[in-house]
Amino acid sequence: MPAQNLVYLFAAYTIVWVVLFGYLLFLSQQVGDLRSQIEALRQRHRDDGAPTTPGEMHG
Amino acid sequence: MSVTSLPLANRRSESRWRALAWYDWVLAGALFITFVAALYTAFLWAPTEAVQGDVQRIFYFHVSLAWLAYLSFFVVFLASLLYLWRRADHWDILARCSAEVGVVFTTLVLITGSLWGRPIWGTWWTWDARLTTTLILWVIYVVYLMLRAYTTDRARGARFGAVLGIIGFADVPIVQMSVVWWRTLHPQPVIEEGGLPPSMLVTMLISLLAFTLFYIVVMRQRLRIELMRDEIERLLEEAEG
Amino acid sequence: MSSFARQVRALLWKDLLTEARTRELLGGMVVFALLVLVIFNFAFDLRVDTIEAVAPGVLWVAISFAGIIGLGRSFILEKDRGALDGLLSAPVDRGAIYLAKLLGNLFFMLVVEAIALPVFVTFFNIGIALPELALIILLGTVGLASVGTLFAAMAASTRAREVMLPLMIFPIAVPVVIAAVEATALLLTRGSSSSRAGWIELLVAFDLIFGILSFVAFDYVVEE
Repeated sequence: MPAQNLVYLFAAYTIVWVVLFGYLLFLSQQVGDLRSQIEALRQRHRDDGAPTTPGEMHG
Repeated sequence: MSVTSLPLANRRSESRWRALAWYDWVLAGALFITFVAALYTAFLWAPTEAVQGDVQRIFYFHVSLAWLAYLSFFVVFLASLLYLWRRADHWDILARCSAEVGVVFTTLVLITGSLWGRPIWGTWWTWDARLTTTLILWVIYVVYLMLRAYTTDRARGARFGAVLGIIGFADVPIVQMSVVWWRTLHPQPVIEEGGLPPSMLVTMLISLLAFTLFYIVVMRQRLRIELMRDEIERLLEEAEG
Repeated sequence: MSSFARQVRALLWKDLLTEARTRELLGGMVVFALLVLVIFNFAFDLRVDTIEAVAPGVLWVAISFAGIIGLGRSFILEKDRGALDGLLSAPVDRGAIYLAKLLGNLFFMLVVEAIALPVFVTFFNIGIALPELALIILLGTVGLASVGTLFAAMAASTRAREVMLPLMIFPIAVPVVIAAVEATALLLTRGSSSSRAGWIELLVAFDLIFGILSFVAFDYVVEE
């Protein structure tokens, strides 16, 4: 009976939504993480003073 | 702490991924709206199919996803050709990202196809021409991603990926042909798809648009991630002096 | 003879001589192919009526898997001994390397098939037109070997090389396997010869297209 098949319809759409937007969210989170990582690195860069002379050690 | 205090190289790459920021909001908004429209038309607006009932509505997403998968892999194909020709890193990055998204789409095609097949044909899987070709397609690009992951040298990985990206895509029509022919010799349950009434066609197109926008948004995020990773690598190298 | 052909001949001869001395590769391939033929006898309950349905598939499983073994080794040996770099630094045409490797792989696979075929015919009680079967086997083998040689070169430079080669070859070579099995089946059951011709055409088309593609792509794979 077609009515019972609605389970499959629901499952299919739910999976699609969850996967697609889960993926998108995951990517956006990665962007955020990388951005803070870059900021942190830039901060360290500025604190250490750039450009560097060869042989100079960095903390 | 202003942008201008950074060395020139920093500023250029910063603007490359910073500048992606503003009209992504427009894209995201369009994406949201189109997806809502796609859901509405697919679930409520489109007429119920006579033979299969409401389950048939899976069809709108299933087919759209399949189209997007092909689009993604076509982009991989083009980017691979361009990479081998021009050797610019951004072509390689484009190929890799598109392959990843394409695999996600193809996985969903297989899942939705299976969920559609179960109530209609009574089986989770059948060696129907389309499903079989999609499965092979899926394997080819999963292997592509594996190849990239398992090749240690980056330039070599890019070259290998490009070769596989080209050969894989060239193979798809031939696989399609041989599988369809094979299946006509051993008939199996097939989805009956006659001409579409206009309302269904419109629903399909809206779904297609929604997924295309999704592809674009995801690709932009993905590319941005790659650019940022490159930036981090560069910063780390600089820090080591 | 052009210098290109001379290069091919020299490289091919080198590979054949190397194998002739050890014979480990060929032996392994033959044993494996025979093993497949035997095991399938137990795996499927091979009564007379089902034999014809299963035989083509069994034959081509034996050929493909034995072939993969041979294809895999064709580059791994050289890669491990560092000989590949030596080869590449010599003024040798890249295309010649590909062709030599391809012909070598083809040769080994054909030898294995020549040995396995009589066994196959015996086990499965086949009585058919040998020349046409030979043609199908030749075309199928060329198809497998042409992309297989290219992918073997790539796989040798990756981390999970034994795994990567079959993973790359099989999905790409699906048309070859389908066409070869179907053509063999039609031959065995004396089915439609026009369909058979169609499958053979597909094999020829695949061999041409992917032979050329692999030949061209090889340059990009081995550039260092």
